[in-house]
Amino acid sequence: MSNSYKNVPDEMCVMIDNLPIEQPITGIVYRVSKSGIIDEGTFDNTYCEMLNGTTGLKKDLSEPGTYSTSVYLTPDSCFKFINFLAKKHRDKYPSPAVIFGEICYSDGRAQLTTERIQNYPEPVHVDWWIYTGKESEVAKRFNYYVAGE
Amino acid sequence: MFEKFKFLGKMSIERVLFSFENEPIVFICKNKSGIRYICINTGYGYEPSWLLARSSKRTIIKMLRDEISVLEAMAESLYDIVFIHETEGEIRCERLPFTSIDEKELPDANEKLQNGNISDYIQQLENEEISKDYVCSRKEKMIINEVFTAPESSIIDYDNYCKSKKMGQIKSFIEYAEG
Repeated sequence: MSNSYKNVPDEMCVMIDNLPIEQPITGIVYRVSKSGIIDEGTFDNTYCEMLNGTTGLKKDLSEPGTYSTSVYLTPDSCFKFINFLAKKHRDKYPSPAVIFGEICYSDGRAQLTTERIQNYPEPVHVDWWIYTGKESEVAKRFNYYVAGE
Repeated sequence: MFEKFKFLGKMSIERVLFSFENEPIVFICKNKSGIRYICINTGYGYEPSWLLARSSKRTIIKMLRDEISVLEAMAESLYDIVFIHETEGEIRCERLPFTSIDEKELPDANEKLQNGNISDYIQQLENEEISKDYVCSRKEKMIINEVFTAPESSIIDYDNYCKSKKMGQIKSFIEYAEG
């Protein structure tokens, strides 16, 4: 029986479980919290965000990365992303934040995206597939990151 | 991506300069005529919106070298900024002078690219040759020569220089030649 990942279809759960990962990622990673809040929802995978309307992006549903939570090994891209958003988005999300915390092996599976997709444009992007039920534990380990820390 | 807007010509992404979660955020588009646009996706997954600035090779290189911010590069455009956005489910397009764009539609004014992996692209732009096919008058040739051989400090204002000589077509040519 495969592991369960939040809202992820069964066949994709099997695919994610069977992904060959040579170097599982653990340790400190960075993520953008669009709402500025750190809670379970902060770690929704992209597919969840598509379902609940948090994002209007249309991603490839056959790509395992679509069912992952995006995190980064360094904070730079997260800050840059926030700074390139139009200021009007601050009306809806007044305090987007860069957050950081640790990936533990027991949370789920994590893979440097370039390990799976060689020409992926972001060399420090990590796909993190969090097991259902682990989200609150994960949220407790994350905190706000201040540039230069 | 921008096929709907015929005036842009058939555009394709020449180089993604910054992406986030595999979505191009800052990128250069080039149309079939060789005209380049600096593009920023300012909406990401929230509300689709893009800013496009027709830009010269010179400006793009300054941006790539982090001599100016991305928004400063857009402000240098001699043309109206193309603002594409989704309103009430419909994709719309406006062409506005940079100074007329609502501040709320703009990203951080000081954000630079700081991308260490674009030296090949800088090299590519620097190596591009000026079109040899352009036919122009003696006066035009003289102005073009002045503009291309002027010291950097005076080149920056070449659009005004051309305007002052009522040579709008020259301005267009220089933009074209610079890509």
